[in-house]
Amino acid sequence: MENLTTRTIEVNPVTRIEGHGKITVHLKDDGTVDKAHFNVTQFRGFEIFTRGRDFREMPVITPRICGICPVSHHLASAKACDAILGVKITPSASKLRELMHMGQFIQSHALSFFHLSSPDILFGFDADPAIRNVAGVAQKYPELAILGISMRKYGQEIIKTLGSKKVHPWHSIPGGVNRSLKLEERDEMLQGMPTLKQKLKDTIELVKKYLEENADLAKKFATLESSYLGLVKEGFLELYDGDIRLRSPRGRITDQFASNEYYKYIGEHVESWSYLKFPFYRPLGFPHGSYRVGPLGRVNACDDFSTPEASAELANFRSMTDDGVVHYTLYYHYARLLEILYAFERAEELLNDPDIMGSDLRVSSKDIKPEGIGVIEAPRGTLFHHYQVDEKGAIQKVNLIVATGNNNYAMNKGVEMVARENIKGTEVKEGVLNSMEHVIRCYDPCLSCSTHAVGRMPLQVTIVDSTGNALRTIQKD
Amino acid sequence: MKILVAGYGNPFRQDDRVGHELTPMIAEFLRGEGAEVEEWTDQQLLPEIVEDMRDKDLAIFVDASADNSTEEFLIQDILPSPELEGLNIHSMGPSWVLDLMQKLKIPYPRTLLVSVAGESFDFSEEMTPFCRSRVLKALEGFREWWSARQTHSDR
Repeated sequence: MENLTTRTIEVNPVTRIEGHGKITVHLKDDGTVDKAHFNVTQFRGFEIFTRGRDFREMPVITPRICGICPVSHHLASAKACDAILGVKITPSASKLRELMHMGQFIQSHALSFFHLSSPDILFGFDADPAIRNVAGVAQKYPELAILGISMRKYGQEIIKTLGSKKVHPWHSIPGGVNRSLKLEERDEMLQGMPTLKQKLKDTIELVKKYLEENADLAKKFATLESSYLGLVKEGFLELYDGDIRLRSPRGRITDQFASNEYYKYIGEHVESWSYLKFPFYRPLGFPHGSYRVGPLGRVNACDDFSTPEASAELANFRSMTDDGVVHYTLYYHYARLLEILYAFERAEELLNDPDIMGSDLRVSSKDIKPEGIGVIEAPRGTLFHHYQVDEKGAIQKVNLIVATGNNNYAMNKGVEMVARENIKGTEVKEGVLNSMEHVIRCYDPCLSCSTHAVGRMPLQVTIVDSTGNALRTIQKD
Repeated sequence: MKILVAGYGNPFRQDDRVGHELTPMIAEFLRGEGAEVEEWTDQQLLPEIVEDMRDKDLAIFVDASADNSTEEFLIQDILPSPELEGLNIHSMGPSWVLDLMQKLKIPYPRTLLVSVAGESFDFSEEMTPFCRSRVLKALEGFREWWSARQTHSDR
């Protein structure tokens, strides 16, 4: 007779160079799922090894945290440094930073949707990994694949134009930026936009059709009635600079506070089984104060988009529910595309603003304040950089709340939901690993390649008893 | 003649920076030969490079090789292949890029890979002396290849 003691199932992506993620499913004695943990096992230590460095170096050091969203770290860091200098940067510098940020949103969201998630949507979660990848999309839907490639390239060119490099650019400096925009560069950016924007709108229609045709799946797939957090400015969605708003699952605004006071409101819970912390809203405690960020978080937290086409599409998005708050995790993809549309529109506004061609790019200061906080919306969610320095500007303490961390609780819950529905004892339903993989992909976490494989996310499931003896191993190549 | 010279690798891992070092050398040589050259360097190949290749007559990829058992450097023609060299987009190679172009129905140019065997891939922004010497040999080898190709096409 099979021994039904407590068991553990491990789902372990085995191919990462950096950013391994691992899922552990704990079973009760009766074989049903007790809990699931999405373990983040890498440790990078930027908060420790930057101590003693001059704060002015931080906008160059911290983007090395990530090769996918270095611009977000670059800008959040620069904002923290502005605060240490005690300066308000010029309108031209602010708008150039925001323009680079829009390029980052376009390229990062395009990577997430077109290269990584669209194969699951177009071919189904259970399709053969040999076709469920960007090459498979290229084969069957070449126009969509080319659009993804073009959109990525467009966003990357904005970043490269301003920061010399597509990855790890250098443009923002404490007090401003180091380079203006040339007229021909501006015109080239404007020229490529209308066609891409129209094709993006066609893609949004494709995703809406998918969600309508798969309404049952969309409504039950890892759906979580959570709170949502994001930056807003006068109630509108804001990606570069604004107040932090928390909206409750029922749609009420729970709180709204200045981003440089985040530490009064946001706490970080720690679990022994993950290096990734669990941020939460302090007044509600952990886990009740957990929330979701990223595209779905922002779209739910704000009142509206400030740009017309994204605003019109948001109205349709919200019509999915009575109270306008969308909890369906699969709708992260829809929200992501909405944000690309916003990023195009906002980039167009910025490019047509006379300030963008300005040459007043830097504000100098000899002041060194003891503390600086920079908060920004990274593609994956709200990103916090908080530095404390001595009188000479040497870093004494750093606190970074990375975007993915804010979704840590939600990713764990999502994976647990899939596990509960599909695992009983050592029996694992076909497709469960793909579903877990897609839950993670919805959040587009910055564990880089655990979700950035070209359609392949080889997983290993090891079922072990409470003493660690392996009962069964399942592998998905 | 329009040529893309594309070097890739991690410039912070010693000999993995071969692509970043050798690419400008090859590009400079080709410009001297009258070619219209676009230079591209990055940490890794990504699907977006198909946009840079689509209007070129020749594409030259430059990379480090971890296999230093036989040749110091290799210059080889590349054909499309759907097989990834590794398991993710951090390790896609030029063959996979050509296959992607084929699937996208984008005509692809003749494509070469110039690979230089590395000795060490530890953390450093300096190549090993062995590899630095091989980079110069690879440049010389490429010049010879170019010269032979020109002679051949003149006939």
